[in-house]
Formats: sequence, structure tokens, C-alpha cells
Amino acid sequence: MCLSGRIRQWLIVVLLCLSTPAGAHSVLSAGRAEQFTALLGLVIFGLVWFVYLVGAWRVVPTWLQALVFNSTMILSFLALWGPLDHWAETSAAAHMVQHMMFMVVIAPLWALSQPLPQLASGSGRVLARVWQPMLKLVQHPVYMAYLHGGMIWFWHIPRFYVLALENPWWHLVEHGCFLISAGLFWWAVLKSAQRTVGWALFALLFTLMHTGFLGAMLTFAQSPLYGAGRSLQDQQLAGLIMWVLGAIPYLLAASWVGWRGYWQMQRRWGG
Amino acid sequence: MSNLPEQANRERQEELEHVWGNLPGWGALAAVNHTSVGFRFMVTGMAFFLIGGVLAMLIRTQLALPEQEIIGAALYNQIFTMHGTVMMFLFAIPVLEGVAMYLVPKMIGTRDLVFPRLSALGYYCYLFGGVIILSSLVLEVAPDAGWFMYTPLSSNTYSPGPGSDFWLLGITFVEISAISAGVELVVSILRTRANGMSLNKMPIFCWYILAMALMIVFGFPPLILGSILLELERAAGFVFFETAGGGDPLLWQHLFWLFGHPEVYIIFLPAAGIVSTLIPVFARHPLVGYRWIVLGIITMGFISFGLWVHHMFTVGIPQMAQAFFSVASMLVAIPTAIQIFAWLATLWQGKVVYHLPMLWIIGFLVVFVCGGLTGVMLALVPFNWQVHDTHFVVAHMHYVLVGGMLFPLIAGFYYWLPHVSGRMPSDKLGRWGFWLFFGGFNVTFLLMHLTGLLGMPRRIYTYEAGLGWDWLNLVSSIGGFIMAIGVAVIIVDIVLHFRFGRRAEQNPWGADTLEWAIPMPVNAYNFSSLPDITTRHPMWENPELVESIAAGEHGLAEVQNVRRDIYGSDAVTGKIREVVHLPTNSWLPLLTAAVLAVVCISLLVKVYLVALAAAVVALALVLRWGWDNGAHPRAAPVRDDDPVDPPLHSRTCDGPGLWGMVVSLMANGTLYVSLLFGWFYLWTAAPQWSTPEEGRVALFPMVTSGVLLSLAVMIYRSAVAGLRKGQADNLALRLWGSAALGLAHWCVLVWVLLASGLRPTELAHDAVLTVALYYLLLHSGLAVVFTILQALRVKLGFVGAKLPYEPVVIQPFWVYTLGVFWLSFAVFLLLPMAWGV
Repeated sequence: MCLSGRIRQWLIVVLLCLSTPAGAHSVLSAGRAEQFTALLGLVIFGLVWFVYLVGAWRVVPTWLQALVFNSTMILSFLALWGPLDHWAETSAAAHMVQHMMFMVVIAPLWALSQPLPQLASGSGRVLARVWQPMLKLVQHPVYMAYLHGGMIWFWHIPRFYVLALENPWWHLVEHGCFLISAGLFWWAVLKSAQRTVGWALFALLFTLMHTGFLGAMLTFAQSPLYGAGRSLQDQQLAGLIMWVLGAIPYLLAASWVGWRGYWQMQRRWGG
Repeated sequence: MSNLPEQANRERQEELEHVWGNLPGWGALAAVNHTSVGFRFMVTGMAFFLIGGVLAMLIRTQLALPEQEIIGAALYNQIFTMHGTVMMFLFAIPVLEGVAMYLVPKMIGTRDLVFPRLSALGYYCYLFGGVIILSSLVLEVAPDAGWFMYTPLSSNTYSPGPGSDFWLLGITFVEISAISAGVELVVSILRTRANGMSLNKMPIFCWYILAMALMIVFGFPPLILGSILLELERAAGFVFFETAGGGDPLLWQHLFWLFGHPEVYIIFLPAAGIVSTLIPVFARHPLVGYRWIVLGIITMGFISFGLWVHHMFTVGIPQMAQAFFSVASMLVAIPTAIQIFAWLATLWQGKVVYHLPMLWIIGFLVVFVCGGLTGVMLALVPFNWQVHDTHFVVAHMHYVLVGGMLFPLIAGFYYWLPHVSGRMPSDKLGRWGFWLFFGGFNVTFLLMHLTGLLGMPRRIYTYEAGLGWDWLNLVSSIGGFIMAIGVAVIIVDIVLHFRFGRRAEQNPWGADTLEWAIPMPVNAYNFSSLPDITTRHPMWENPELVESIAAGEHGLAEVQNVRRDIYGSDAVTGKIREVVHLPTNSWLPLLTAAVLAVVCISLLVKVYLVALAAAVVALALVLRWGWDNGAHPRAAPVRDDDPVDPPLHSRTCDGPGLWGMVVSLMANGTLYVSLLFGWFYLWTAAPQWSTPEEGRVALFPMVTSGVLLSLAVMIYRSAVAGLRKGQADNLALRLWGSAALGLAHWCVLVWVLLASGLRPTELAHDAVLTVALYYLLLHSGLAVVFTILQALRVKLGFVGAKLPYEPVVIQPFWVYTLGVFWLSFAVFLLLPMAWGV
């Protein structure tokens, strides 16, 4: 039974990989620093996935968790090295889609797939030491929301936004900031303890509202914020993607957190 | 033999009545009891409803025939503005708050709301604010820019008189009551439920009220901020909404609808709560999908905060935004539909008894669903453009609001009448009232859709004959008068029933919730002993509760030390954690509200020194009020027989006060975030925004000030950390130290402001910055004053190692002040430097 589980997992990975278009576009066709950072990103990315797969061999996840994690990795691959990344250089909207992928699709799916046992086992507990302090952090969904919010706003200040666009190293840092802070946020929210369900909902509302405000800003701005040459309409679209489409995951999460909290309550105190 | 315990029980109940009752005669004005205050809210709200109704009748009279001059254009503008304002702000919200304040403690099995004096303050602010707003009508200077006060029409240039000021100041004043009710209801529902009433055993009505209260907490601050900014613009010439100095009139609309859209749900949720309470009772079947409804309530609350833009389709926002929000608007249909289907399913499953309240519920279902459907139509942008500002919108709005709020409210009134009076309403007169109202309403507003489709704009005082609107308007007016007759019949019915109504038996409708375990008519203390709850339907499953509660077989049956005691319980499980001692009757709320009214009036007549003086007096009164808490001899001084398990709340570190502080700070934080929104919005969207060449605020002194504040907060926190561990070494010294550092910080900040050379009357940039600095000063100043008072209390022995309560309550205020300071520093001072591309 155990073996069939593993086989099924590998099968899922292989199948999902097959469906990936031959990406890694920007690795080959860009400047030196860009190549190097893209490669570095790819190595980190591959390492994480590899560690997970090794870990999954030892500590078998449920098929759903494996499916969610591996699909999320494919999605991340697509988001990072697919065509989006190329489009993002000129289009704020495409860049927004890429960031929204990190922040409201990939990060929550990671949190839902609960990959820590596999990552711990796969890395021989090296990675476990990395997230040990994080385990404390994620008990405070509101602080994680503040942290995540700070990251989002910081990187949308025109100077830093453009900096990340122009300098691949900063771009890597930007993506790291988004992914890690989003991961912590979603982890704290989606896995909130019974005690903190209320705060998790508050964290969601707070994030819904401030991302909405930021989206509104981009939508209503009179001129392009990120370089005069850019299209205003494109920026409006970016804003609306953040404001409206970006809101949907938060709404879904609010329902899910509410539902889960209620269900736990029901189980413990009946009624 | 059995007489003696009965005699003792009666004496026990008399003592309860004595402790919880209002003062006799005029002393009733000092009442803080939730039953009295809630009832006053409802009666006052209904009085405002009648006034708003009379205004509506004047409108319908004027419009009944074409080319009439009964009411001139100027007065007509005042009347329709006041009709909307009165109905929204002085009737719909307060009356529902009143219902909630009256019912919630009774439903969750306790004796009062958790901050009784705040209830009373809220009521008086509402009453005085309402009277001030209405006085403008008598003085013929009423606001006339529409109930949403759009700038620039409401700005100085186009509304030079005091009308808009009446609106802005009066409504802000009234909103103090909304926010205080919001905070109080949240904390009461979360922290004072009957023992064992876990969240999932809470009556569904309380879930609705919890959501409503939280939405008030997050929804009202943007409007309060908007009103303050607009009033600053009108009175002091600050630039926020004037394009010339870098402001933007659309900012007002954003702030207004940031409030206005949630407000629709703030009105709808409690009314839906009434529906969800009544339907199971009259269907004789538990609510189907309780869990789904809870989920629907949460989702609805969330969605409502994201959709404000769909009120602004025609103001020139990007076309793409219209498309997105048109689609997004459909989302709200999901949680609403969950509820409607759950209601229908409950009706389907049960055996429905068509008593009078049920008739109103059916009326609600019909009218509200129709209003919802026209809402879907309005969400479609092309259609929206077509009918914008026509009577179609007026008709839609009345279907939603009257259908969604007034019908359930009247159902609720009839349902809970026996609770108040101990008598049943008359079925016959009641049915007449319903059919007159329902018929009249539909005649008026169903046809009004057509009037709108035929192109008649709103807010015009008359129209030419022969445009095809004549007969429609005439019939609408006739319908309006039929509706008014219906209202009159209902009022007569309700008034007469107090005298002639049949005596009600206990639990006359066969309901399941706890408020029906209280003897009728209602007493001052609700429950003569506080029961444990094990089910969501206590009165269906344990009907014997009526007797056992009355016999004093449950908790807190005996009065201790002539004190008002209730249980404080865990927010999730509802397990008892402490005994909360509540303050008794007090004149301070009335006095404070009266002084606040003086502030409001002196701002109106522009005597600013008096306003400032009165504001200081109001602050002093509030501090005086807080002085009598905790271990103060007038509250709960340390005695040998103090309860230990559970302890008195003022001996703990996590009492309701802390919760109240945190919820208030959430409201406060929302106000601040709205200010940040305004800053960013003006920065990016105002057509003539400009930033001064050089930073106006000196950075170094600002940092110094911030460091001092950080030190103050660190010391304060260390003092509280010690208290939490039960240590009070050098407590007074630390508090004094913290206050001194805070004061130093405040002084530096004042210097920064004075030396800054900000020109708020010329540049929006400087205007926002000025407001932010004042905001910081206010908070730091308050924190210092609070801390000094705590230090004094340590000296007097009201605060100490065993009495840690109050410093713990104030700590979040310090932390908030600190957070807001550094955030402001980053956003208002650092960001502009880092902005450039």
C-alpha cells in the first residue's frame, strides 16, 4: 500500500511535468546577472522540490497533499520561468498576475499541502531548523498580516518597483520577500488554532482591505506610476487584478477559516 | 411550610430589583440598564421615523401633480436631504441598535451589557445629535446637498450656509453612539454569554448582531474621517476635496461609500437576524442550515467591504473598473441566497403558523427579493448608466431598505411586544395595518420603477406636465398616503395593546430562545439566577428553566455587596471565567453627552474657544467616569469575601475592558487607515496634486520624538509585564517614568508641528500631514494622561500586584500610539523621499 502510494506520487509528478511547456526561457536569453539569478532561483526551486520528493518517499503524504504540493510547484515554475516573467518586464498587469500567483495562489496552496514533514525528512532536518523560529511566528496571524502587508506596499513604491525590474538581484529578493511573507501569512491564517480563528479572520479582512486600497490606487492613478513610458490602461488592469480578482482568494479563505473553526467547535462542544 | 422559601425568594428578587432598577422620577435619566436604554433607542428611533415619514409625505405631496409650487425648490432640497438623512442615520441604524441592545443580553442569558454607562452615553449622543440635526429644519437652514453630501456641492462654494455643517457635525455626533454600541455589543456577545453557551450554541440572532457590530466598528470610521475632513475644509479652509490645491472631490465619494456600502448590510443584518429568529419559531422547526447561515454572514461581511465602487459607476472611473465591479457585484448574491434558501427550507420543513409577525416576514421575503433583483439590474453598467439618478434607483433603494429592514423590524416589534408589555397585540388591527402598508408600499414604489425608466430624475422638485409621468406620480403619491395610514394603524394598534391587549402567557409564541424565560413584562435584572446552557434551543428542550431561574436555582442568585454582578465567560467555549461587576445608575453619561452637544453647537456657530473648553470638560468627565472603576470604593473595593473562583474581573488581566480597548482600537485604526488611503489616493489620483520642494517636517526632531515615545512604551510594557506576573515593584515609578517620557515626546512633537511651516489651506499635501500630526498629538497626549491617572491610582491602592486590571487595559493604547507614530513617520515623511522613479 505504501509503495503504491509512492508510485502514484511519482506518476503525478511525471504527468504534471509533461504538461509543462519547455520553459526556462529567460535563463538562456538574457544578460549575465539575469542568467545567474535565474539559474540561482532555479537551483533553489529544484532543491526544494527534490527535498520534498525525497522526504515524500520516507514520510508518505496523503495523495491530496502530494497532488496539491506538486501542482503548486509546477505552477510556481510556470509563474517564475514561464512567459509571464518575460511579459512582466513591460506590462504592470502581467507582473501583477505573477505576483498575485505567488501571494494568493501558490503560497496558500503550499500552506494547505502541509509539506513540512516531507521537507524536514528530506533535508535531514536541516530545513527544520530554518522554520523552527517561524513556528512561533505563525501563531500570530495578525503580525504576519502586517509583515506581509509591509512587504507588499514596500515593493510597490515606484522607486523599489523599478529597482526590482531593472536589477535581477533585487528582483530575486523581491520575489523571495513576497513568497516567504505570503507563506507565513497563509500558514498563520489557514492553520490558525481554535483560539486565533477570530484574529485569522481579522488578518484576512485587513489584507483584503489594504490590497484593495493598493489596487484602487493603481486603478485610479492619473498617470503611470512606474515609468512615464508605460501604459495607463495596463496599470489600471494591474490594479483591478489585485483589487477584484485578488480579493477572491481572501474571501474563499475567510469562508474556509470560518467553516473550519466552526467545525472544530462543533466537534469539541457539540450542539 | 412552603411559604417560607417562597417568601425568601420574593425578598431575594426584590433585592435584585432594587440593585438593578433605575432611580425613581427624574432619576430615570441616569439609567444605564440595557432594557431601559434599548427601549429608549427604539422609541426615539420610531419618533424620528415618523418625522422622516412626514418629510416623505411632503415630498409625495409636492410631486403628486406636475408644475406644483407648494414647496419651493430650495425647501424641497432640504426636505429630501433630511428625509434620507433622518431615515438612514436617525432611524434605521439606531433603532436596530436599540433592538440589539435590548435583546442580546436576554438572549445570551445575562443581566446587562458589559459597558452600561457607554450604552447610556451612546443614547444621549444619538438623541442630542438627532435634535441638533432636526433643529436645522426648524431654522430653515437644513442641509440640502443630498443624504450623501457629495462634494463639491456640499463644499463652501456651493453650499455656503450652515446646512452642510449641521449634517457633518450632527452625524458625527450621532455616530459616537453607533461606534459605542458596536464596541459594546461585540464585547458583550463574546465575553458575557451564559455558562456553557459556546459560539455554536449561540442564538443565530446574536451571530447577526456580532457581524453587524463588527461591521459598524470597521465601516463607520471612514465616514467619520470624511466628515472631519470636509468640516475642516469648510470651517478652516484645509484642502482635501478642492481640486485647486491638490484635493479631489471624488475622495469624498470613496470615503462615503467605503462606509455606505457596508452600511447597507449593517442595516440588513440585524433585520435578517430577526427573520432567522422568527421563521423557526413560526415554522415550529429549527433553522435549516444554521452553520451555512453563519458562514453566509461572515462572507457577506467580507464582501461588503470590497464593493463600494459599484455606487460610483457614473462618476468617471476607468471603464475597465466598471466591468470588474459589475461582475464582482454579483458575488454578494451568493451569501444572500444562502440565507434566503435556508429560510425557505425552514418554512418548507416546518408547519407554518401564520401569526401576525409571520405576515410581515412574508412581506419581507416578497419585497426584499424584488429589491434584490433590481439590484442585479443596477449592477449591469449600461443599465446603471441609463437609470442613474432616476426614480428607478429611488424605487430600488426603497424596496431593499424598506423590504430588508422595516418589514422584519415590524415583525420583530409584534413578536417581542408581549415581552415588553406582557400583552398580546390585536390580530385584527394588526392585519389591517399590514395590508395597508404592504399595499400602499407597492403602489408607491412598484410604479416608481416605471417612472424612473421613463426618465424622471431624482431630486427635482417639480416636472412639466405631459411627459408621461403625471399619472404615475399621482398614483405613487396616493400609495404613499395609504402606506402612511398603514403606519398610523400600526401605531394605534401598538399603543392600544398596552391598555387593552390580552394578557400574554409565558412564552406566547412557543419560541426557543432564552429571552422568553424572563417573566413578562420584563424586569430590571432579566434573570433572577443565571442558568447553564447546553443546547441551542433552551426553551424547547428545557422549558422548566422558567421556574428554576425564577426560584434562584442557578448562578449569581444572591446580590453581593449591593453590586450589579454578571458572569464573564470565555469567548469561544462560553465557560465562566470571572464575575463582572457593573457600574450602577450614573449621571455622567448624560452630562458628558450634554457637554459634547455644547462642543457640537459651538462648532456650528463657530465659537471655537468654547468648543475647545467644552471638549476639555468632556474629557475630564470621561476620565472622572473611568475613575470609579476597579477597586475604587464606589466600584468593587477589596473585601475579604470577594469571590475567588471565579474571581472578580477587576482582579484579572484579561477582562472585558481589555477587549473593549482592542475593539475600539480596531475602529480607531480603521479611521487611521482611511486617512492613509486618502493620502495615497490624493497623491496618485488628484489631478493637481503637488508636493512641496522640500520636506516641511524636520526629520531629526521627529526621530527624537519617536525614540522618546518608544522608550515610554518600553517602560510601560515592562511595568505591565511585571503586573501580569503578580509583581508591582516600582510600579508607580515606572508609570511616572513612562508618563514623563511620553510628555517629553509630546512636547517635541508639538514643537515639530509649530516649526513645520505647513500650509494646510494651500496644499492638500500639507493638509493631510497636519491632520496626521494632530492625530498623533491627540493619542500621545491621551496616553500620557491615562498613565498619570494610573500612577495616582497605584498610590491610592486601586492598582497593584493583586489589582493589575487597568494598566493592562491601557497598554494596547500605548502600543497603538507607538505603531501609528512610526507608521506615520514612514508613510508621511520617508515615503515621499523614496517615491521618485
